[in-house]
Amino acid sequence: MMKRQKTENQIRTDQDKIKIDAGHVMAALLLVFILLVSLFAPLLAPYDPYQLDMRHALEPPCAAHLLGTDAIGRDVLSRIMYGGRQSLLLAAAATGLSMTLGCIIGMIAGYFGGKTDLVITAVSNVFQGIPGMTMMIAIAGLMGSGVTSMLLALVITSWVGFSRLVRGEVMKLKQEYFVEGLKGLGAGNMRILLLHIGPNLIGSILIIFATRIASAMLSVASLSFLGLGLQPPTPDWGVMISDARTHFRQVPMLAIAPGVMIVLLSLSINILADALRDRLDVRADVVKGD
Amino acid sequence: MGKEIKVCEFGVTFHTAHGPVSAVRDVNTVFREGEVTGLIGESGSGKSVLGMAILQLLPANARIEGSCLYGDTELTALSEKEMEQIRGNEIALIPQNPVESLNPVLRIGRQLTEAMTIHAPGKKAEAKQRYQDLMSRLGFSRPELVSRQYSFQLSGGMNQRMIAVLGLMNRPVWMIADEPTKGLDAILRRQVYEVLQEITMRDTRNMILITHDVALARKLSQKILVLYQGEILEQGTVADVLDHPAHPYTRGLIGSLPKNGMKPIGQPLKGREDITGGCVFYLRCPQATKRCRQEHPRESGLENGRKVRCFLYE
Repeated sequence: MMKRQKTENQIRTDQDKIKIDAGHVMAALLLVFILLVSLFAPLLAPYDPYQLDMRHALEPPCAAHLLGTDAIGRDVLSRIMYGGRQSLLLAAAATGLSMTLGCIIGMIAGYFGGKTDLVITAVSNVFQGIPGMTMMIAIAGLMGSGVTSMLLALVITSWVGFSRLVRGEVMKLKQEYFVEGLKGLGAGNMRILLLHIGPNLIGSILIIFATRIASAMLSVASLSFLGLGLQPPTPDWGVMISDARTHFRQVPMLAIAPGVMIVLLSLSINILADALRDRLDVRADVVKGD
Repeated sequence: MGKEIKVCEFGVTFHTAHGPVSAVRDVNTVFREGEVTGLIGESGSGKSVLGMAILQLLPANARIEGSCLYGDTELTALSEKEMEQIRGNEIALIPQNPVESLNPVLRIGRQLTEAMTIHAPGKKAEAKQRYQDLMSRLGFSRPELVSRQYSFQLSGGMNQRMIAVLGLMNRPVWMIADEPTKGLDAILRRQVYEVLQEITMRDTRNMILITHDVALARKLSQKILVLYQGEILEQGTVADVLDHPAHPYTRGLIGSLPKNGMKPIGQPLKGREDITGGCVFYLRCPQATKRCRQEHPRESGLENGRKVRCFLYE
């Protein structure tokens, strides 16, 4: 109760109106922890994630192997530590690429309007109509499974989310008086779009970037689970769950450990994305209210 | 150094979904160097459209007819790229709505110096110096502090002065001030007047002042154009037009000022049906004749370069 009172007072006095929520802090700490462990996995992991040891296969958690070993005796803890690296990188790269592509297309459609916009909107409607997972499976089937095809699949299915939002925002922003003012100063379209409209978009782009990266993570894990993404023996959470299918009745930890990691990671990203959205909306309200 | 702006048979038509709408018609006038020309008229009279049309800052569905000469350059024939060189450099705009005319997510300093670096990318230091000079001249004692702030953190009056700085950054030859006192209270209006007067005294006397504020136009300008429904009904020197209005509309406008007793111009008179082709003021004109209904009046020249679009002065 006391604590709550204090935070409310802070809100009133604090110019920046930063509201610190315990849940958000937890999510942030969790995310940072997962990222750090993934980053420093080579230093932290007790074993080589690829090293076989058939004598100690399918061991339950014990002192030597805190999370036990898998069907061919690899240390589960080490594989968990390594397991986020590839999918995180892949999800970040795919989301970054779709964001870039979506922003460019959305800006062109929103700013220039007319026939350009009509064509782009028609094309994005087609892309939006395609069910994401089906498309990804189709691409993996056509191009063969692997990193490139997964990247391509993720970008193809998610750029529309960015371009739609950016298009709408740009359409709204280009009506603003400051755009007219800039034209009156002799500014060209590129300058207006990139240096003036662009910075106004950062907030909303960040929000979808954060939500998209979480769903991209899940897609990577799903594809790897289906055997269309990262391939064994790569230490990856999706691959690990897939491997665990035959043995998880004997050693449930094999499926539980990577599953929990996927849940924790996407949960923490989603919570932070929500927090970000609330925070940026508040800022928008303050600006408009004045 | 300067160049005059000469407008001939100038018109602007908007092509809308409901057919073409003519916003400005048959404008013939010269904005002379060394003069402030006041464009006055009620809202919807086309005064802002006329100003924006000189800079070709109109929506995509607008078509410009006639000619607009800037010195020897025909502005209507220039490409968009060439127009960008004119805007800000030669003819600058002080836009309406100061607060909204500044980008809310960029710091003031960056935006204002950019006005200069748009045209001279290498002159960053010079732009900063010019920013300092202009801001202190217009009453900001600590320009370097303001430069780190955002437009919404500053007051309306400060924003108003800042967009004046914005327009002045490149030392333009001409200045177009679009409704500088729109929506401002009496104190801010006086401030705007002082800013504009400062500009005309020290920066450029070549100014087109678009306003519905007759008092402001009287104080600042030497020449007045009276617009009504897209046509110039009367043009001449301030003393002629505002003190001895000739056109029945100008007379009504002057009579409607608070200090002259606020007599309204009056609604369309009874028995006069909507007409096309006649005088635009026919419906409300107390002195209209049958001829005003059928025939479109031309501009008749009077003494002192004055022109009136009315049959009374033929």
